[in-house]
Amino acid sequence: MVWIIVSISLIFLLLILLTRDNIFASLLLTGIGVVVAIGTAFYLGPLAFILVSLVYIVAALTLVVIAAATLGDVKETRVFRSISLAGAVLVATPVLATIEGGAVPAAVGFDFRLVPLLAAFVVFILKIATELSI
Amino acid sequence: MIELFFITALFTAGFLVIATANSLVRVIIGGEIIVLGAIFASAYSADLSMLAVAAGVGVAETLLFIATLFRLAKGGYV
Repeated sequence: MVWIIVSISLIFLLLILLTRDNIFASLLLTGIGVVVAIGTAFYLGPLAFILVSLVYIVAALTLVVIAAATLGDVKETRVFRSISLAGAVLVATPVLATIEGGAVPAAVGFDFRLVPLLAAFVVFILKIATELSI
Repeated sequence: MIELFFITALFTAGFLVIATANSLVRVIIGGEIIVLGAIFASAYSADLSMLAVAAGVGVAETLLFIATLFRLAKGGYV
């Protein structure tokens, strides 16, 4: 079942790389977010699907607004330079050289002490974001 | 095993989107793809706490990037 998720996601990634329009790329990001959210539901159940798809729909639709606001400022939104492959090779080669499939660890419970910490973190980031954008 | 290759593919594609970007919105899209790889990695290790942290960091990163882009657009740099 996972290979269906993987192949659909790879098609989405290729489309994001090839799409010139920023708005379409943001909408495709929504698609890949939902597909990977379905993939996470294989391991952690429907709660992970709800969490990941919620985060990615909100983030990508905010990006659609930003892309529409900056429409027309940049004519050529992506440039395929040959040096761009160097970064991808630098990321992929050490991982692929040392990869080995081990046993999947057993599921652990949720640590509820994370909730106030994450809430404080997001409130702090919101404060910094408002101070940046004013 | 295919999941590990998929996580690597997500990271690599995110870096490729950032490396081929000519507009700042695509840099944010690449960062989102990398965070998506982190989210899938935490789901593959069956750790719900790690997934919550990755999702929270994804939200925070999006907020900071968008605020910075908004500030740059006000300054006329986009």
